[in-house]
Amino acid sequence: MSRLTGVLQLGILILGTLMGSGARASEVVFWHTMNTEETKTLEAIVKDFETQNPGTKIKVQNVPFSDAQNKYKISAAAGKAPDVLRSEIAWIAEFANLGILEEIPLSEADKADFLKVAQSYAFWNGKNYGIPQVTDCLALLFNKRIFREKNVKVPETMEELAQTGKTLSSLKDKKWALSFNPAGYWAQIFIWSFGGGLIRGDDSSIQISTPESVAGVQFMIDLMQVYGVSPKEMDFVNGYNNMMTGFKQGRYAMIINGPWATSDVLNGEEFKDPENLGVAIIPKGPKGNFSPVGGHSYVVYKGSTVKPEAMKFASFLSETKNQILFAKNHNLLPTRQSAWNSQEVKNLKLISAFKSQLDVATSRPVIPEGGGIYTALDRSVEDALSLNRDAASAMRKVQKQWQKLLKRRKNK
Amino acid sequence: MAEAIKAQKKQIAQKKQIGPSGSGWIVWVFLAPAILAMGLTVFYPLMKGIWFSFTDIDQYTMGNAFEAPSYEFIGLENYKEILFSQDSDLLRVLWQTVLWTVINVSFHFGLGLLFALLLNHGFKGRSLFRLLLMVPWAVPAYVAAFSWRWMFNGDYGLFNQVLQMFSIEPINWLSKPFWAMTAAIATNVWLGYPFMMVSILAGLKTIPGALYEAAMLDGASRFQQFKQITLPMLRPVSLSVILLGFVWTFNMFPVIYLVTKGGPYGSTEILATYAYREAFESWNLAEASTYGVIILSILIVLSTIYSRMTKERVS
Repeated sequence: MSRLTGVLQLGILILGTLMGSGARASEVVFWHTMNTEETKTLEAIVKDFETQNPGTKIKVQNVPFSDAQNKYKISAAAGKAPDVLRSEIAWIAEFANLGILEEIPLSEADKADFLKVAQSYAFWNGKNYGIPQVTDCLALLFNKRIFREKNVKVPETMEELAQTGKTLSSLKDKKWALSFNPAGYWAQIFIWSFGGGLIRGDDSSIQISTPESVAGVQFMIDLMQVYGVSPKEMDFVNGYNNMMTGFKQGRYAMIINGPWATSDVLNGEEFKDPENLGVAIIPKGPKGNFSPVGGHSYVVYKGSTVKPEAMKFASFLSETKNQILFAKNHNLLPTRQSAWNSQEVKNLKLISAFKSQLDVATSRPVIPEGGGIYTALDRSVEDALSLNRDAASAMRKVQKQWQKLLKRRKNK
Repeated sequence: MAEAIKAQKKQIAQKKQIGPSGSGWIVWVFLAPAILAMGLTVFYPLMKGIWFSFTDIDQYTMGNAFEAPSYEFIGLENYKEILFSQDSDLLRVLWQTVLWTVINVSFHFGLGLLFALLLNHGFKGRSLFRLLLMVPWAVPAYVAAFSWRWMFNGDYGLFNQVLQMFSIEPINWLSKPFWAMTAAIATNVWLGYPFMMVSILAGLKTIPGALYEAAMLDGASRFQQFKQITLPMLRPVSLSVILLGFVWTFNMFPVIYLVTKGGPYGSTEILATYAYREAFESWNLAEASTYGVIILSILIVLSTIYSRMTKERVS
C-alpha cells in the first residue's frame, strides 16, 4: 500500500514538473553590467516592456563587468548562456568568431540612425551581431573648485599636465593633481598620445613594444615618480575604486574616466553642487589627442529558445526614447542620431562635453582579441608602474603574450 | 611511565583493527551510488583533464553547443613548454605556492595548538573564549576575503588608518609583493586555525589523565609532561591534520583570488589560481590542464612521502 502511494507521489511530482515548465510564459534571461544608478532606470524600462508585452517575462541579472566576458563564454560553451547580454563592444567580434551569437538584422532606418563609431564594432565577417546601447570614451573629469582656488588652468597638453604636479599636488595634505586607473585600458591614452599603438586592425601586427608605445608607458611612470602629478604608489587591486573615492572627496583634482562614472561622482561630497564637475578633453600628447571609444551593445545568444522575444527586447532597450532616458538620468552617450538631435539631450551639459571628446576619439581595432588583450596588458602595466620592470621589458612581455593569443585565432 | 604509554598505544592499535565485518555483495550494493557519483564527478573530469594536457585545446578548438570540438593530440608539447621553456612561470609560481603553504600551515598548527592547550584548561569565560575563537570558521571564505581586502586597502583601509594614528607611514599592502603575500597569509591564517584548534582539542581530550598523574608522581615538570606525554600522544591527530591542511592550503583558491587577485604582477599567484587564470582568463585550456596534472602529481608525491615517513615514526 505504502509503496503504491510512493509511486503515485513520484508520478504526480514528475507530471507537475513537466506541466510547470510547459505552461510558463516565455522568459527572457538578461545579463547586464550596469551600475546601481543605471539599474534603476533599466528596471523602469523593463517594466515598461513587460506591460507592453504581457506574454514575456524578463529575468534581469546583474553580473560584475569584470567577470561578464569570461562568464558568458563559459556558459555559452555549455549551452546555457542568457538570451540577451549587455556586451562591451570589444567582446562582440570574439563571441561572433566563437559562433555563439545570433545574427541581428538591422532595418535600413536603424542603419541610418546608429552612429558609425558605435555600430562598426558589432560587425564581424559582414554580419551584424549587436544593437548599440551606449557609446563612450575616456575624458578628463575635474573638480572646478580646486582649479579656481589654486588659480590653475585645466591642462590642454601632456606637458601642461606634467606641470600640474607643482601647482595642484601637495604631499603634506595627501592631495594630488591626477588619478587614473592603473589598467591597460587607461594606458592606451598615453601609448597612443606618444605615437604608439596596440594591434592593427588590418594586418594584426603588434605595436605594443615599439619605442613610441614604451614612451607612453614611461610618461605614466614619470607622472607618478618624476612630476608628482599622481601618487608614487598605487593600490592596484582597488585602483578604480580608490580613484573614484578620492575624486569624490577632493583628494584628486582630476581623474580620467568615462560618462558612466558621472552619476557616481555626482553623489560625492565635493559635487553636491553638480556644477562643480567639469569635463574636458584629454590633454594632447606629442602625436595628438587620443581616447579609446568604448560602449555597450545588446547581443542575442545563438542557443536562445526565445529568440523573437529576445530580439524584440534588445531593440526595445535601445529605442530612441530609452536612450534619451539613460542620457538624462546618467549622462550616458546615446548611439542614435535621433537621440542626439532631441532637445533634451542637447541641453545636457556634461554630455555635450563628452561629445567633443568622442568626436576625436579613437576606435579600437575590431578583432576577436579586442577584449582578451587586456589580460596581459593590465598585468604588465602594473609591472611597469610599480617599477618592478622597466617600461620596455614590460611591453616586450605583452608583445610575446599577444603573439601567442593571435596564433590561436580561427578564421584569420 | 613509558610502559603506560606503550599500553595506551597498544590499546589504540587494537581498536584500529576492529573494522566492519562480514563483507559480501550487499556491501557493493550500498556502495554503488557513491561509486557512481564519485566516478561521474571526480574520476571522469579527472581523466578528461589529464587527456586535455596532451592536446592543443583552447577556446576555439574546445567546441561549444553549436560546433564540434576540433582539438588534436600533440603529445608532450605542453609539458615541454611548461617544464623546460625559458618563459615558463612554473618555478616562480611553485616557489610562491610552497612559501604560502608552509607558512600558513605552520601558523595554523602553532596557533591551533596554543589555543587548544589554553581551552583544555578550565578557566573563567572559557566557553565564550571558545566561541570567539570559532568565529572565523563560521564565516564563508569569500566574505572574509572581501572584508580583509577592504582592511588592507592602501588609501582607505583599516590597517593604514591605525598605522596613521600612530604616525607610521601607511603601507600599500596589496601593491608590494612582500606585503601582498603577508596580507593573503594573514587572511588565510585567520580563516584556517580553528580547524586545527578543534582537531587538536579533540586529540587532547583522548589523552588519559592517568598518564599525567603518573608523571606527576614521578616528579615530571609541566614542560616535561608536555614534551613526553602531550606531544607524543597528539602525534596521530597532528599528522593527519597537517597533511589535510597542507593539501587544502596548497589549493586554497578563494583567499588569493579575492584578496590580492594574484597581484601585484603575479607575485602572490599560487598554482591553483595561476591555472584558473590560464584557463578562464587567457583561455589556454591545454596549458591549464597541464598545470592541473602537475599540481596533482606534486601533491601525490608529497603525501606519499609524508605518509611513509609518519608511518615509520609511529610504528
